[in-house]
Amino acid sequence: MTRPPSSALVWFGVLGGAAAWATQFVAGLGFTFAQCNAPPGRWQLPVQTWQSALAIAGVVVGLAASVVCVVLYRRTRALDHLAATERLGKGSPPPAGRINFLATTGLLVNLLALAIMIMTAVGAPFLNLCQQS
Amino acid sequence: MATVVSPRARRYVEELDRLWEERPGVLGWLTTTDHKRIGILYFFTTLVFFGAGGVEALLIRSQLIGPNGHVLGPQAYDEVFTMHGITMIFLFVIPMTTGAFGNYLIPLMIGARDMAFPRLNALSYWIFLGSGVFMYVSLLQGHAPNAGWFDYVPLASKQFDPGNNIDYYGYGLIFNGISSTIASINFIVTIFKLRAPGMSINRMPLFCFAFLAVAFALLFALPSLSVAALFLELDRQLGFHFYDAAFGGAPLLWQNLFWIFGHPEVYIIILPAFGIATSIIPAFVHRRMVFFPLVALAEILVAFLGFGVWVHHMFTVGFSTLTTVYFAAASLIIVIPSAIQLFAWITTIVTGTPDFQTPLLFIIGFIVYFIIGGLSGITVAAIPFDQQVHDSYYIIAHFHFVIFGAAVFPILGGMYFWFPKVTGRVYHELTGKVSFWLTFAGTFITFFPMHIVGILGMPRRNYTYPAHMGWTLLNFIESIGSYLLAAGLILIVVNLAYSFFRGPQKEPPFEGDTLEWATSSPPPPYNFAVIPTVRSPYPMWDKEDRERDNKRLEAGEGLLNLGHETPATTAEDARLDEILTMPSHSPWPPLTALALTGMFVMLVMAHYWIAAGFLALVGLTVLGWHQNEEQA
Amino acid sequence: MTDASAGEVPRSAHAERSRTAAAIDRGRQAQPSGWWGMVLFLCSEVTLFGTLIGSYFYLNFGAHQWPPPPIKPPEIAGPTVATAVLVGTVPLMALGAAAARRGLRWSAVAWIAAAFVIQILYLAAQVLLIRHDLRTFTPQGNAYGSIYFTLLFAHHAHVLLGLLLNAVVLYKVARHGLTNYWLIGARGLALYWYVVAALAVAVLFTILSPSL
Repeated sequence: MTRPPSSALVWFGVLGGAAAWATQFVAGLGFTFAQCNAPPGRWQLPVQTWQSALAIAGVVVGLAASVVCVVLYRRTRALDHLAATERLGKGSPPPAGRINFLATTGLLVNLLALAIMIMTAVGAPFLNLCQQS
Repeated sequence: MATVVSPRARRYVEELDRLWEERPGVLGWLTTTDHKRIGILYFFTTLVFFGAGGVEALLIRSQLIGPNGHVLGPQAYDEVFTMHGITMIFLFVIPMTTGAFGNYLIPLMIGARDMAFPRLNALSYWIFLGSGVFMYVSLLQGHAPNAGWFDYVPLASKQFDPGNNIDYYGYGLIFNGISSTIASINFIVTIFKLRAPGMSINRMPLFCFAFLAVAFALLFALPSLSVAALFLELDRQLGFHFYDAAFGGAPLLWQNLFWIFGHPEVYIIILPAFGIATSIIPAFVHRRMVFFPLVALAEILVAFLGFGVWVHHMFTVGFSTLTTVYFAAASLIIVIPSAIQLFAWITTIVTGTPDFQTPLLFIIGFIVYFIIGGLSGITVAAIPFDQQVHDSYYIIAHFHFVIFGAAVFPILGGMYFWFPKVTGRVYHELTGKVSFWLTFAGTFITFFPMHIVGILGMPRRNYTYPAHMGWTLLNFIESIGSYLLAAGLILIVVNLAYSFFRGPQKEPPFEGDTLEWATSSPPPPYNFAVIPTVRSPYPMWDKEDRERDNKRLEAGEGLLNLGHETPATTAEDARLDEILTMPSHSPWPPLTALALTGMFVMLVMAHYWIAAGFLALVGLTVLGWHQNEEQA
Repeated sequence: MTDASAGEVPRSAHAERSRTAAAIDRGRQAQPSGWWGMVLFLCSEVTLFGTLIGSYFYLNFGAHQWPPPPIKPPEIAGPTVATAVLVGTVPLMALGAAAARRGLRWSAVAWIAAAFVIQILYLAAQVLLIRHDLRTFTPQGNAYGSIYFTLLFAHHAHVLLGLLLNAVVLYKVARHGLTNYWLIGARGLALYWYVVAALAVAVLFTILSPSL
């Protein structure tokens, strides 16, 4: 590879969606526990607004990370049929082989993270606040 | 296959033999820091605990073989089923997979000569042993923990459980957790730093990915359990009020903290099994694993997503839908990485040329049980169904299918698979196959009827049941199944024990694709005479690289023979960075563990000042440890 | 090891003198094992504090009033000043580690010793503040007291451990020299204090949250 991409970019691609989901999860849960565990009248938090906002922000980050993975995958695939050897399970030489591998895995991580974030938030505007399931 | 040694190379090998010679006798074993010896110590210790947990299981099944049983009274029953759960999870499965398999195999698979922190490795074993003995002293005293392995408050509070049973639980789990935390740090640093030059991340064996995932999961899950246990003991011993609703505390806080640990824990249990399966399958079907990058990722992803699903153990406590939706989404998506792995294993087997020897049979048994257990898992992910079967035998059926069927079968298969490598002897194959079928049948007969008896309403954790409930015949069948299962497990132990003493001494009849198969059987203390050349995740199938290593040995290249040496490489691309000198024998790990055991014993006896004294002693042993400035 | 394909690679354990240890440190392409070990240990400790802080808020959310009467919300000034002092030792530790990495043995000792003194004073001041709190409410009084004092105790136990680590590193570097082992030890110690200081800020915000 003439100029390998920075390590930070590669790891953003791999971990960005997952980090976004983790943030949405912790912050969103914090809001629902705060509102639904508290005795009535203690406070009124805009839980559903926050759930939607966190999901939108998370989806944006997840999509960005996915784009990074796609770009890195295509850049490294073009070199010496790397993707083919990776699919065969034969590890290709670093750094291109390693980056291609990470980009492949990152794409799946981001897709699943996007799915979880969307599934979590899609019902939020329609659910009754603090109704027991 | 053994490294064939020519006369010229022999003198280099003899030099390494001299440098790495293990101290003989009991003192040698007490002070060892060699990862293989520590793995063997873990192996036999966990087998003893497996036996204890198995006896507890047989006592339970004997008590439940018919209605109104008299084998165990209610108090004894409570202690037995609690200790069964604690033993099997904390004293068998985790230390067997991480401590025995992980310790023995990881350095070999990555082409290193030891773990990154050999003395810390020894410490994790001695602490594990101390914690196990600590817990079992409670059983001998008749004060074993008795509120279930998950120990819910308020039942476990001082008000309702005034003896020191629960204190053995609380302190014991913190104690045991120290061992696992240390071990997981060691695994992660070893896998990051000590891989052979050329073994970049994309060329690391799948077994190592699984164990990396396990180590990270342990590291991030254990603090939650430790905090939960700390709060419990503060409430019980010092009158704090974390879990006490009357004083502003929250009983549900225990459940949340416990399951934040508890759910990742079940992935910690199953992931090493995935790693063992991904080692055995290519070896016996003579084909690379399909979708290698996705399988590697799936192993890590299952551990990561596992932190986001814990409330599915608490669907009956009354959370709002706005809360449970987070966990429902993650619980559905987490099926996907597991499914990817299942698909990859099955496709690899079907498109390869399988040789159905005993290790592969256990893996196929594992796949069968994982599918069935996974399906019952999906059913309980549906909240309405879970609310009907929560606390019934349906749940026991589900988790035994996945924990016993899916996590333990690969352990048994792995025992057969690596037996020839570790011992240099061959086990009896026909007996192996018979032991598999006995174990498989016994597992099915014991645990499958539990789905039915659970749906018929039989609750868990009850020491007996009345006649005329429609449960009698099914319980009888389950108990007979458990005796069959015990026979299968005993046959495995007998086969391996007999073969260890009397089995033919020859080269292993099969060979895996990872680097441990490049050494002699058993491997020498230094593992590799020459640090191996690595260019793929299947180094044993790269014949030119193995040839090159032999030539390098002839030329005296890459021996690292100026001491106890192993190379350190960069984390991503495994470029050679420096040569490390590893410590050899040290008395400090067992001494530190002994002092720590003293501290926990004093805590459970509520002698706090003496416990503080033992803590100071721990500090002194750690100072002694740092007298010799070894590699950092 | 002189391997034609790898070139000269140092044997780091043989570095007994500051200059050699510093040269090896400069030449490394990756962080040493000891550094990674400290980072991972700190991941575990951060998770521990995350759990403690999460428990604080969990108990908070379930309460009608927090802190429950008659306990008053905590005062802001004293704890904030104390935490600022602790955070102020972070640059001193960083300078100490940087000096160690350059092989400057006595400079490293001086910076770490300076931080050490301030950290001891910090701990002493905090013990006095906590004793003052204990006169008004106790951990056995209610869940607020339980989590308040447990959180503070956990943080200060880590500060105490840090002081012990300081003492060991200072002694070893002063007495035996800045070997490769203790150079990495100094780096690990600095990392420890960065995280303890960051956790101090997190604990401060948590404890003061009813007053903010």
